[in-house]
Amino acid sequence: MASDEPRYAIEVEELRKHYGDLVAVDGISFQVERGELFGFLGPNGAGKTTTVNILTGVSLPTGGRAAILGHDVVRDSFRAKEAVNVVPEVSNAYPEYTAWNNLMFTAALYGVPRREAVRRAEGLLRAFGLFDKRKVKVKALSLGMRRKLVIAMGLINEPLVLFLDEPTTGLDVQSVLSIRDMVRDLNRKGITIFLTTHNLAEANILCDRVAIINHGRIVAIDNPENLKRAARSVQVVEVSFNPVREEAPAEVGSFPEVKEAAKLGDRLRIVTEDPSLTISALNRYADERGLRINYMNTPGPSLEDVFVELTGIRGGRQAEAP
Amino acid sequence: MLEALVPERLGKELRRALVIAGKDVRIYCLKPPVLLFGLVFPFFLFLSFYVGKKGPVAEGIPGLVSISLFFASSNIAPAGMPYERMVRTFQRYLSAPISLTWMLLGKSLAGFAFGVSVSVFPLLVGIIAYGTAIASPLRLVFSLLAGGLCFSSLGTLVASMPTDAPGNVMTVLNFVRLPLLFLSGIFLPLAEMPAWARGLAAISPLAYANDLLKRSAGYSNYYQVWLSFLVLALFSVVFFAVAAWIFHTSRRRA
Ligand SMILES: Nc1ncnc2c1ncn2[C@@H]1O[C@H](COP(=O)(O)OP(=O)(O)O)[C@@H](O)[C@H]1O
Ligand SMILES: [Mg+2]
Repeated sequence: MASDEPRYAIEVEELRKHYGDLVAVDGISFQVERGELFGFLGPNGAGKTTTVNILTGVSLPTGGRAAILGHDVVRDSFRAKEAVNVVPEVSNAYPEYTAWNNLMFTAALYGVPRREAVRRAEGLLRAFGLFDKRKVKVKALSLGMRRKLVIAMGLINEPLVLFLDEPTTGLDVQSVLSIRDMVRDLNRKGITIFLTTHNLAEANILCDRVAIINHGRIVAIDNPENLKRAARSVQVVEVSFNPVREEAPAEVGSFPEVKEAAKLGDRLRIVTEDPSLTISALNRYADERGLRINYMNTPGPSLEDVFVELTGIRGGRQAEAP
Repeated sequence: MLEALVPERLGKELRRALVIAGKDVRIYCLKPPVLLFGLVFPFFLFLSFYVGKKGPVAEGIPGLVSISLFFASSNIAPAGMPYERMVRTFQRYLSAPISLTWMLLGKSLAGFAFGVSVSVFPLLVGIIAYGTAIASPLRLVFSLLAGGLCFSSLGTLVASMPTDAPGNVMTVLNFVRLPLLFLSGIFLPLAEMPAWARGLAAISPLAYANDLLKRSAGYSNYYQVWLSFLVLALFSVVFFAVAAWIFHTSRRRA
């Protein structure tokens, strides 16, 4: 352990990762305070997993540097790795081992003494509702149980920093909710958490601070309040009229609260600051012109819309801006 | 860098490598590719070549021990690694506090332990049922250890192929092993081989291991004993070093 307490749990400076010509991580910098629940929010392919892989020693950076609790992840990776654990995007327990043996093996791999490992494994299995399943082989567990087991494996060494790569993706609602509770709980117990997600709502409800990453670059780092404000001002209404009216995008686009209206297949996709105002306006608009509304929906704002709101750049990348 | 050589750190690495080795033996020794290509296949291969020959069975025992050692030791890593890449458990080793080199040592150790244990069976059968004599027990033990080490390193080298398709690795493994087997002097003694084949046999580590095992059982050997040990040690180091280099390179690409 470093003698003087390191200021940050995670410190990243100009980190980059290239795969041939593809730049997966494009010079990102940020710090995560100790005890923070830090969100890393971005769409698929943004570079979230690549970043987690570098920070956890699975892969090596092409440039820049990163440190965990003051230990450089490349030069001092052994120490860095002793202080952390990771729950990867794909649940990776050993399929032919039981839940119990997976925990015992992971404990041994992190140097947890046997008796202590038994005590912790029992506690974790009970806390995660898996105690009855401890003798069941992983291949026979449901997706949600597997996810929980892998999170338990990620906690068996009592890490100071835990990386969670899209912990709720692909799970049923019940599991999603219980895993979110779990994550909050762990953070309350003092574990620094680095959580990646492509779900705006998840980042907002869980995290202290959120970094938004797109195309390997950090677009913004902010607290969820500000993100929510940005998200609120880019609500979406989708509508389709019968008969189709060619002038609709331009006409609806000129409503005062509407930021943008564009054709999306047979629908009109409207980005608005005030969806209820827009909905009544649309009804009036349709009545006045003798149009029937075939379909109307208010999907949540997309990440892309929030990017645009935060940066004013469509596509999330300066070079591609029109 | 020097920190990697501090005793406390070495102790941790060693213990964790042993943990990995233990887990691998437990999980993979019963997997179909290991049972098939590590045990059943070499046994029948031996039978089909050896049974036609006349002469006492005891004489064939060193060869059977060599083949068992060769196939079993080299089988664990190539059966395990691609599978672990596929189910993503492989990245657990990369994110765990153990260096890549020690992790590979653990993986090689699994093959070594499995191979040596497996080869004890035909040896015991030979001693008990067919009166195979052990001329030099100590040399026998060291021969088994040196052979096991070399063949498990060979396994680790083949397992370094950056693929997650277990079938591909098995194919390559057998593609490497069969020529080495035919050049080993097990089916046709080295002394009776044509000169060109004998020259090629010099690159088969199995030839040296089998030569040592024959000598240990009291039969005539072809290479000097010290030379066989030296060559097996060199092969072990080279196989392992190349494997480690490939694994390090693929992590940079990962
Ligand atoms: N091993 C790899 N080789 C080549 N390209 C990769 C590799 N891993 C990821 N990528 C690419 O890097 C980009 C970022 O991927 P990733 O970090 O997995 O994104 P995310 O986790 O945010 O969905 C993607 O374009 C992806 O295709
Ligand atoms: Mg990802």
